[in-house]
Amino acid sequence: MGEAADGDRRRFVAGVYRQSGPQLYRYALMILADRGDAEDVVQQVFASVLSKPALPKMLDPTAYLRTAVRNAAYSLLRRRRTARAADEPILEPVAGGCSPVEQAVLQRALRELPPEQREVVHLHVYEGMTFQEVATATGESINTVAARYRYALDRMRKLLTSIS
Amino acid sequence: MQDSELEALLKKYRPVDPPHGLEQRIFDPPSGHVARPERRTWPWAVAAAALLAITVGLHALSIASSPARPDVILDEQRVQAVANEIGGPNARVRAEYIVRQEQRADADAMQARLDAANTDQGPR
Repeated sequence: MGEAADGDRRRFVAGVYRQSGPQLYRYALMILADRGDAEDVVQQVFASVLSKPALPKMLDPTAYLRTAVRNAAYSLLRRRRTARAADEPILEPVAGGCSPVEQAVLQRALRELPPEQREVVHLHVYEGMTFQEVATATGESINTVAARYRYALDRMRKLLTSIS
Repeated sequence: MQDSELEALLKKYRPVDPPHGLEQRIFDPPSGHVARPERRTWPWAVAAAALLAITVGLHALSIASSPARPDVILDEQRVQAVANEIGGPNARVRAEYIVRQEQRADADAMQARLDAANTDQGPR
């Protein structure tokens, strides 16, 4: 009985991972700007769900896990005391006309942003969320979200101009 | 550079995908490998537990050697005599302690002699 329930839980969580795991990893990556830390956070979150005797109530598993990933990522940032290596790519091209130099410059500009601003850029640009949806997902006010996005673009623009 | 240009530049790229091994690390960890625990540690909890254990131990020890232990009735004359010898403001307290230790030692010695005598007589 217990093993059957455990098997069902693993199959359910595995399905959630296949559906949302890469998305959650990219989210963690954009907060942390470090691939190894993003892997650790995603693994920690899924392992935590798997280790629970009963699955938590998840009306929207992706939203639930996104919040868990966010909490784990910021928790890790608070504990992290050393800067991470900036040489590993965190972006990959998806369209033509990309260049390694452009990619490197963009990555450097993103890394220069505070995690909260990178997070808003990610959710708005790469996840396609509205500011209201970002506000709901992060628990911040829509004004805070919009301001973070504004600061992020301004800062990136300056960095890109200076680097170029 | 306008916002729209910057956003268009960002959208030419996307955050990288997770490594292929991540799913396996989560769902099929190597045998003997327990899911990586949170890196959070609780040194204060360990310290509190140790402190509690020490406190309980000391409390038990103090009860065991408590002056209020009822199994020894102090010889008042002896206490007074020792207190007079010691003198000073805490003479009475120190004398009670000394006499209590003496009486316990005497009681233990008496018990040992009784035990020895019983052993010598043996079963009949």
